[in-house]
Amino acid sequence: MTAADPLAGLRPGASPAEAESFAESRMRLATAGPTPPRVPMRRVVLWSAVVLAVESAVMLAADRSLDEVLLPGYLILMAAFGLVFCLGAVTVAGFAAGAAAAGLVVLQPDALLPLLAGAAALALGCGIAPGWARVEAWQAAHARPLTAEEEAAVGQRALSVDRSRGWSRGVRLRNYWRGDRVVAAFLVLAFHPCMAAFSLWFIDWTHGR
Amino acid sequence: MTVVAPGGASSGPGPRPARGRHAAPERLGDVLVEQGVLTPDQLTEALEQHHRVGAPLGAVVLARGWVTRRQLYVALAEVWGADLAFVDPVDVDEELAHRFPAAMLARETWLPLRVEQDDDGQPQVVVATAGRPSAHIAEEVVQRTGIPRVRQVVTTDWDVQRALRTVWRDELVHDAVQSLAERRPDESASTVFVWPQVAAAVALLAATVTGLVLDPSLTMLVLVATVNVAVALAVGTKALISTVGTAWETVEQVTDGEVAALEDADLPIYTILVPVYREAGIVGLLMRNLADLDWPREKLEILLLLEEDDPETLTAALAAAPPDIVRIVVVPHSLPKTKPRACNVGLAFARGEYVVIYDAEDRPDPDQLKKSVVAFGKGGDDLVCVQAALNYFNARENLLTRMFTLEYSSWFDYTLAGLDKLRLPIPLGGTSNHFRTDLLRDLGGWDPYNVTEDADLGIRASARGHRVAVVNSTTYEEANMAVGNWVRQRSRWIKGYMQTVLVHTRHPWRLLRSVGPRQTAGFALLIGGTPLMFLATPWLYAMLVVELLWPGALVPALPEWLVQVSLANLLLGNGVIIYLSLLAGFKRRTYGLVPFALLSPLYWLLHSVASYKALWQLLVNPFYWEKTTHGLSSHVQVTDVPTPDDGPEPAALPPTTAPPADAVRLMDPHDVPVPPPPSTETTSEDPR
Repeated sequence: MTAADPLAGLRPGASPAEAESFAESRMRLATAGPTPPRVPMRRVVLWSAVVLAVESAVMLAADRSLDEVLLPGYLILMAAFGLVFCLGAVTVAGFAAGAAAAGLVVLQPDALLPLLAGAAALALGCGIAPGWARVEAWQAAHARPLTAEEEAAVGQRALSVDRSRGWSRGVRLRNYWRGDRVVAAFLVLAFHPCMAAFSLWFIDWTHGR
Repeated sequence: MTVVAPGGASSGPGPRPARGRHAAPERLGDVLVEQGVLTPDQLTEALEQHHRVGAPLGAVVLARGWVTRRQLYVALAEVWGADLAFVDPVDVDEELAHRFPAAMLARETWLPLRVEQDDDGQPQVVVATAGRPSAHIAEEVVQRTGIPRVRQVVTTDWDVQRALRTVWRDELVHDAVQSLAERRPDESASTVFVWPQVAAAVALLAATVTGLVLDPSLTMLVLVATVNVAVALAVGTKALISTVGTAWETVEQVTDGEVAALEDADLPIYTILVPVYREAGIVGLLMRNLADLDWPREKLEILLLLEEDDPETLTAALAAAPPDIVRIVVVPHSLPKTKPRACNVGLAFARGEYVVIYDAEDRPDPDQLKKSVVAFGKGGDDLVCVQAALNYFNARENLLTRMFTLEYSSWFDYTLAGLDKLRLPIPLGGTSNHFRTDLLRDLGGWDPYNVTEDADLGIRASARGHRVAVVNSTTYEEANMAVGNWVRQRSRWIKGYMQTVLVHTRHPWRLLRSVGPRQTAGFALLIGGTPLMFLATPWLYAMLVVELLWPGALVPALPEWLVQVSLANLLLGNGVIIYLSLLAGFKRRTYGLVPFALLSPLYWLLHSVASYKALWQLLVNPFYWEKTTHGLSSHVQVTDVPTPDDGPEPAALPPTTAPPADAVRLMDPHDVPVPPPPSTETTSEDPR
């Protein structure tokens, strides 16, 4: 039997062993106080701004056009915030990455499909990235307390939470694949470029009629 | 017992010297044991709880259901050395009664009964109190009547409240309905439009008509451009605020550690107001939903606010025999029949240091009250209200509930968090807003003429220099799952927003000076922009349809650039709305709802339908309260009203073990026999 997913509800008809595992997982989350990953967003924004400034200065010094200056800038923002979104599970970073991708599409409409492929890859990464599991664990531990049955089930056996095994502070959490998380992440990342592409198409279409 | 104010004379036995504080509960306990209503073991346990929680012993034994209210007051009367009386409202001298304000009597739970001759033939005022007879009451009576002799008898708090509701009925209703309108007419929605607003509207209309006659193209340009700017600003403001809120999605205003550090003995009394109208059978549901609240039962007061013209719900509530911490307050009939009016009546009777409103079907997080208390402690003296997040427990029931949940998640998890971070005025949500009771009374309570009294109160609090904050706790409600019901509810909310804007823009400069330009802009764009956005959206869609079907058809009337801007505005606005809904699923990791965000434009069109209904009602029936039907969800198991054959099914609120036997006699205590006069010993015990 695999360890129960503490983030889901216990399925109907679960065996006693599964129920116990489920309860233990939830108890670990509740008692060990999982914390969401703390990505230093100010530092990320600061470093992105510094890199953008350097990049812009170099490109402008090389007498490049505005589009040529903006293009790598968007790429830098998209990559930086895309990674923060994927690895750190920071929702607002997905917003920034998507907006940067939209900027890329405005400059290079042909880039839509590669961008969508990139968004899909990042979204798949979100499906297994440990940061998401930690945020969800934090949510689960805060959203609903253990039921009396769950506490009683766990109380039957001693808990041995080995924090040293964990990849970071707090309890070790298995990373559960979540398809709905992947779809949602893809929508967040892909929405802006799709919107930008649709807007460009619509403008062209109305002008062409 | 007769007590006399300073300078007065006494004709009755004076209070005995007060005993030590620790003697009081033990004395009461001894009396209860002597009377055979409490066992020694129960007394030991109750005393332990009394010392642990810091609540009076009477409250402990009542909360545990070990004694009835009548038994408790019989014992208290003996302990306090006073006579016991059960008050019949018809016995109250109305001329005497109206010298005393109902609000003060409700807060202090006593009332004047009559003037009688004492043994020496001197007049004395008889007062019934549900607390320990005190010099304060005597002084108050002397001050208001000029009669120096005061005889204080003990009665139950329920008797006091019943008499107040009966004898002071008109005053209670008047205070609940007219208090704000009389004290601060500028802050009340009782006047829908003030004359400068009417004049401005007429001038605007006249200018538009004149312009259309003289120069239709220019007028259309100005109109369409204005609408576009307003919509763009409203959508942009919402996007900005929500994005700021998104950045703080894992920030906890109150941590579990801070909650765990609270000691029960330090917790204050908390009052929960539950306004209910035509929701028979809701009491059982209420008890189940509030049963998990982590708060000492002895310090919890639940006021179930029922309407006088709703006997079905009242019957059901009585038959459910709620535990003793639930008090049924029947709100006298009056107009406008709105929830804030009922809440104002409840506020008059509230004894808690803090007060919160829940709907009967609400399921608050167990630690919500404690988190709110911690938030108040951290928030400073200007913090008047803490708003918990609302979300839905039946999100996946149908498409409408999914969309509604996404919208609520976006609003409460991101928009309100953003408003909090930006220190902008926060329009409160319908329930789960926790108040400091004294500050709420100072603010004038809720405006019964405003159909979103909560949003109005949040803005009013900000305008008066107070602050509203959010707390990381959630109350789960029932999402509206029927379109007609949803439109009714939404039209009320939008109408309330319109009322709120009209009220708080009566003196724009005053608002600007009191809250500052940034807050004024935030208020105007969020509260004012929201209805405007909904009203404008169909026109932008109409332009899109015309432009798609008949390309260039609008150009003669409008410049081409404006048509393009309008279409882009519509496109971008919908893009922003979709995107905010996409993000909304992330805070609570309800990813399954996220794809439905793509349907947000359709959902927002439904808002436009409701907004036009709201606008119409604002003009023709501004104070009408569109009742939202609850209990439609299959997740809500509302118990039926028990028939006489069923017998009452007591609703328990753990750890209260059983309902008091006299709970069902709440409304009719006449048959309770008056016990023999008690002894005259006095202690400081008080059941409150």
